[in-house]
Formats: sequence, structure tokens, C-alpha cells
Amino acid sequence: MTRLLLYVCAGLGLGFGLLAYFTAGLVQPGVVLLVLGGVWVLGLARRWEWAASLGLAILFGAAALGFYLGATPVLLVFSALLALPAWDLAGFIARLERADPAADTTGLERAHLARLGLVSLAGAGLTGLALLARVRLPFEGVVGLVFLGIWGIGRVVRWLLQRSE
Amino acid sequence: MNRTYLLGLLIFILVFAGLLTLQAPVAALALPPLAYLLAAVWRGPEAAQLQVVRTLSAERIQTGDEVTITLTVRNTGPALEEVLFEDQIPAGLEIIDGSILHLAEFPAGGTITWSYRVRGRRGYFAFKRIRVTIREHFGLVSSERELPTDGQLFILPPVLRLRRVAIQPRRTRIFSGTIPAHTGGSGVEFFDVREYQPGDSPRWINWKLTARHPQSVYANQFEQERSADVGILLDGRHRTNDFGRRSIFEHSVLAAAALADSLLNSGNRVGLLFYGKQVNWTMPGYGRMQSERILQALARLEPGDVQSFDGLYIPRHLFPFRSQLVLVSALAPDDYELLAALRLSGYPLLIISPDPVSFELSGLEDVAAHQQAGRIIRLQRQLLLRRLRGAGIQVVDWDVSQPFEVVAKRELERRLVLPRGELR
Repeated sequence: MTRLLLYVCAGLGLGFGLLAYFTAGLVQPGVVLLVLGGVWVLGLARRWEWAASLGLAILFGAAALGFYLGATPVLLVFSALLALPAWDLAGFIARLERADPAADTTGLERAHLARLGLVSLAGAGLTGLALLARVRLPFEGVVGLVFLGIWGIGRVVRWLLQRSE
Repeated sequence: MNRTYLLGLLIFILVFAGLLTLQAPVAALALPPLAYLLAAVWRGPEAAQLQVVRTLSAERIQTGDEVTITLTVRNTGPALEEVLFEDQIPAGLEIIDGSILHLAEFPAGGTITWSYRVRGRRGYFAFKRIRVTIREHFGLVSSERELPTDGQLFILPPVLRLRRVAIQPRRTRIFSGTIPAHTGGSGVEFFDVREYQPGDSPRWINWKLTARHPQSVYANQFEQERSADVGILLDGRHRTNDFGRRSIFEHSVLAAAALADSLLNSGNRVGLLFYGKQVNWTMPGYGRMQSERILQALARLEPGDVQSFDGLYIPRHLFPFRSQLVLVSALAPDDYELLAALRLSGYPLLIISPDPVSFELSGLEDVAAHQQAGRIIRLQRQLLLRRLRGAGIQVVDWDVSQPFEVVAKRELERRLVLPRGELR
């Protein structure tokens, strides 16, 4: 079930990305995305450890570039939104497979998928809100906000790493 | 790359890219990973309170047998979203079924039990701890700790059953056993004839001799059978046991276990001295408890070298004067002096020598150079064995491609008949 969901997320994420590029007539970047995405999906199927992180970088990078090149925004957002659960599920499956294959992990999987679904929905809602909202800020204000955000995220990452040690 | 780092880096890049290109949607793409990161912060693992109990289906098994290890963990603290247990098993054990890893969610007050089966080579294995990794669902925050557990496993060497080991110590103990004591009394084997004395059984009267010498009545005497002190010396020196990646030591352990078992079954008092990675002395004793002590000692032994001594080392003070010594050793050429001196000082000595030449050759390519070298080394060994026999030492040359019980039956079950002056 979890593995199937991984492939669905990966396939749809890549598909939305490709669709965004090709419908906007961006053939060359679309082909590059197709090749890189193919490597990613192959890596997931072959259980290459680095494949999940590569896919996350590819789809988010493609989405960011797509916005810059003028590809369809909604499709790009869907593509990036699906890359995140695909990356998470790949890591989760790797952890499941490392442990006792005979153990019953149904409850664990169910709880994980529920949490992931909630977080994905929250992420989608926030992104949608950010794209729809129109707030006019002076440039200095934007820069200040960005640096504040970066400082905050830096603190969160540092805290997470400290908790892990 | 660490997952948290990767996510943080992605968020930074997206925000910066959005700022540089003045594309708000690009910066907005950082929101889903940010939500993911914050969810991990919100539900990070709390301090766990876990208790582990380990049970083994057996604490004492033979080589080749399997044992089931069951771990039961109880959570006396808060609920844990994702816990990975990793049992720390000692090297030398092989997992046959199941896994040492167990991943589960762990509710407060809950209990998790899982099992796996192992087998291993001869040895003593102590289970000391289990590693626990606690994560939230996304695996971004994790904490590791080790929980102490108890448990030990002895994998004992196989014990071959030898019917009898014929030894001839110069001194026996007062208790009855199976060793001919060279004194007349009640026994089975004919020993001598003396004049009939009151109290002798009429069935012991030697009628033929009495008929030839009618002035007196003669009675047969039988040889008393008593127990003896036996010291088994196991040579675990690196130089006599290890040949490249192969070791003949396991054969020596097998022989020592079989000899100890047989000698103890015959009522003797047996001790074991090991000389290898460490000097290990098992005090002499009788019976089943002593057999278990010796087997457990044999389970722990490893070949190696003690830095203090270069050659073979046999502390005589550990063995009663004139008691029987049994040395299990592949032998080195320079061992002769010490063994001959030991024999001359009054210790009857039996050497069981696994043949290192045939053992080493069996692991080498069958080429002319190896054959030639083998012939030379074999001649050296034969010369050494001949010299030892000449010194009055009983030597059993064991080609380890043959089962030890076959060799023991052929060489050890018969009582050695030698002129008194030579062996005694």
C-alpha cells in the first residue's frame, strides 16, 4: 500500500511537471525533466538510497524554473506538492524494510500516512493562499521578511538537529 | 545527506531564488517543506521510559543447535510514534530466522515482543544491551539510547562418547575407578597369587597351585581398580594451531571435550589447563558438575599467544606428583625438551596430537612444491613423535580427516602393554 502510494505520488508529480512544461511549449527543459525524472523513478524502483532526495530536488527545481519560464503555475505547484510525500514515503519504506519483515506494521503505516496527508494538505493550503493573496510590501519590507524567515528556519533546523543528537 | 539539512537547504534556496528573481510563487514553494518541518518540531519524540526483558530458549546449547531469543519491551512513559529496536548481538552468532531489528509504534503502557533464532560457533556470548532509536513520524527528529539487558549463551563443543581411555598413572587415588592400581585386592583382572588368608573368598582359591604345593593353600589376587588424578592440557598457541585462515584448534577442543567426558565418566578427578590467548585453569573435580565446568571453560577458549612465555608452559605445581597428564597439542619441534623433562620427573604423559601437516596440506593446492614441502615437514614431525615415544611418552598421531572417536577407539581403548621399566 505504502509503496504503491509512493509510485503514485512520484508518477503524478513527474506527470504534472511534464504537463506544465509541454503545455507551455517548453520542450527542451521538458525533455531534460523527463530524463531526470526517469532516473528518479528508476532509482525508486531499484531502491537506490539517493534517488528520493534527487527526486525532491528535481521536482522543486523544475517547479521554481517553470515559474520563471512561464509554465502553468497550478501544475507546477501540484508537481512540487507531490514530490514531498514521495520523498517522505521513500524514506519511510526504507526504514520499514530495514526492520523485521515479519512484523505487523499496519498501524504504524496508517498513522504515518494520516500525518503525511494532513501535512500535505496544510502545505497545499498555505501555498494556495500564498499564490492567491496579494499583499503589497515595500522592497525593504520583503527583504526584511525574508531574512527574518531565514533566521527562523535556521533556528528550527538547528533545533531539530540538536534534538537528534 | 541528513534529511533535516536537505529540507532546510531546499527552503533556503527557494526563498532566495524567489527573492532574486522577484517571483513570489517560487518563494511560496517553500511553504510545503516548511509545514513538514514544523510538523516534526510539533511532534518531536519525548523522553522515553522503556524496560527490556530478554529470554533465551536455552542458555547452554551444542554447536549447530539453535536458540530462540525473545525480547519484551514495556513502555512506562509517553506514547512513541516510531521506535526502532536493534538488538546488539555478539560477533560469532548467525541469525537463522527473524530479525534483530524491530520497528513499531509504541503506545503508552504498551508491550512489544519479538523473537529471532540464532546459532553460532563454539563460544561464550553475553548479551548486554539493545539500541533504541525513537523518531517522530517523519524521521527528522530522532534520539538514540541503549538499554541494558541480561542474557548469556554458552555454545559448547560437541562431546564425542569414548567408551574408555586407557591411562596408566603412577599414582591412583583411594576411590574405586577403572584405572589398574598395580596392587592386589578386589577387582576383575588377575594380578598375583598369595597364601590364602582368613576372610578370602573360597572362590579365589587357586586349586591348581594348591595341588602342586600341598603344604599350603593359595588364593588368586586381583588388580585393584581405582580412580586417578588426570590433568588435561590444551595447547592453544597460535603457532601450533593457526595456518593462514584455517585453524586446527577446533579439533583439539573436540578431543579435549571427549577425553574429559570419558575420564570423568570413569570416576577420575580431572582438571583442565588451557594455554593460548590466556592461561586458564579449571580446578580438578569429579562427576557431572566438573564435566559441565570443563565444557563451559572449553566454550570460552580462543587460540592466541601469551606474551610472557615463548614456548609451551606447564606449571607442574598444579598437578599432583605422578598424576596422569594428557596433552592435546599439534606440537612444535621445540616442545620435546619440556615434554621429556616432564616425563622424566615422573608424570605419565599421553599426547593427543592432531596432525597439522595433513591439515595444512588439505587446504593447499595439490602442486609439486607443496607436496615436497609436506614430505619434509612430515619427516620432521615423525622424527619428533619418535623421539617423544622414545622418551616413554604415549603419542596418538591424529589425522583430523578421520573422526576422533575412530582414532580413540583404535589407540586409546586398549590398555598399553609396555615393559615396566620403559613406561613406568
